Amino acid sequence: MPRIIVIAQEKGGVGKTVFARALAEAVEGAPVIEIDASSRMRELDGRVTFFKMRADRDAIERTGGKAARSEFDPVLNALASTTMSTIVDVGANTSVSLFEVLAEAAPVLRADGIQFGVCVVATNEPGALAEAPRLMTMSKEWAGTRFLIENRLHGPISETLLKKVADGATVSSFEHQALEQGADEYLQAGGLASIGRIDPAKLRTAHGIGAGLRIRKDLERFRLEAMQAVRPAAEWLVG
Amino acid sequence: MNAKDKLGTCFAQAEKRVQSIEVQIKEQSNRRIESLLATSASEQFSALDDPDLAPKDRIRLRRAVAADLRRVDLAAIAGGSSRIARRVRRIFQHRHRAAPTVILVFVASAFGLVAESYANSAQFVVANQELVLDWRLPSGSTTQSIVQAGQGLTVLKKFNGRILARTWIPGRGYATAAISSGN
Repeated sequence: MPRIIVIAQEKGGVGKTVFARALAEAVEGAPVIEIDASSRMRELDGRVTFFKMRADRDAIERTGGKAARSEFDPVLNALASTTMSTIVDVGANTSVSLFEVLAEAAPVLRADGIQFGVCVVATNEPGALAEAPRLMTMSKEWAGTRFLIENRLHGPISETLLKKVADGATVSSFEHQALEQGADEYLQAGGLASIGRIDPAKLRTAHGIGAGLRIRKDLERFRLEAMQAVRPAAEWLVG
Repeated sequence: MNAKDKLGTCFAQAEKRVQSIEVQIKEQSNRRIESLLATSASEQFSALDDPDLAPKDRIRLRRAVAADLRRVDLAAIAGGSSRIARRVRRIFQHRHRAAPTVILVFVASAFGLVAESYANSAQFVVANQELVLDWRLPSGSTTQSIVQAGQGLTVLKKFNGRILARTWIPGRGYATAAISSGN
């Protein structure tokens, strides 16, 4: 029975793709569906099916959500035909529209044996904090399991607020990672999957022995911490 | 291997990858500190913030530099031509005779410090009768106030037997008032 985990947050820049990538690292071979304005997870090659979102927020609202619904048709077809546990990474400004569509489609897909889980990402930033409880409430009906990742990019969220936002979901946290100068470029260019493929000799030539080692350490540490943050979701996905 | 076992293995491998690089960083730091300790004091000094050094090796280097600086200080004093330098040189040349003098100076200084700190240690007391106090401010000006019986105040007991009341006036400093035996 395939399980589908949807990583969501309406606000951009909270780390959704990082956690989708971390899930892809943890659950070897799991297919990934990327719904966004542009493809980012290229390092995963054949594992990713990309769906381009053309409708912007204005178009969606102007058409009463019609613009988004028609764009999600191919996504729903892909979800319906999956035979393996799948990771879905939803780009910014898309989660609410997708959740509205899934509220209708999930019961049908569930009848076909597909289970849905939702993983909402929140940071201590007003926009993300406002959207997280909304997505939690929206998915309560159709998602069998819900997870909340507190990304401490802007500091920790207060315990009381976190509990309120989680609304009974499993919570995990991701500490803000300080990276050696130059490390972020490798992360942006190749995501988590490419970290293991970095050639230490080339790194040494480009940055020197010490800095090269520190860059590798920071990247590996980042990958491990991100994997730890998605571990509850990964365990559910392979369950 | 089932999916759950695979997941466990995947996390264990991720941890191992981090640990393996941490070991390499430690080894790199070891090599660096050994080579630095074999260099001159100035080279060591300029490498104090070397990012390749692990925190414990950075401490090792700081200690080595500090030890070098102490040696340099003594050498400079001993080699100088001023009166102080000559005296210090004499003390170090006749260390066996200088030892009791050094100990005596040390004990006298320590006694002086203890006595001074005792005389400046304040105590909080409660007045058992009404006191009329003439306060002297740091500027030299004076002012009078009445401390009611039962009211608290801070006092200092000086070696000459005088008792001083002391209070802090924000922006002006400590004001003191002598408490006479008649008070």
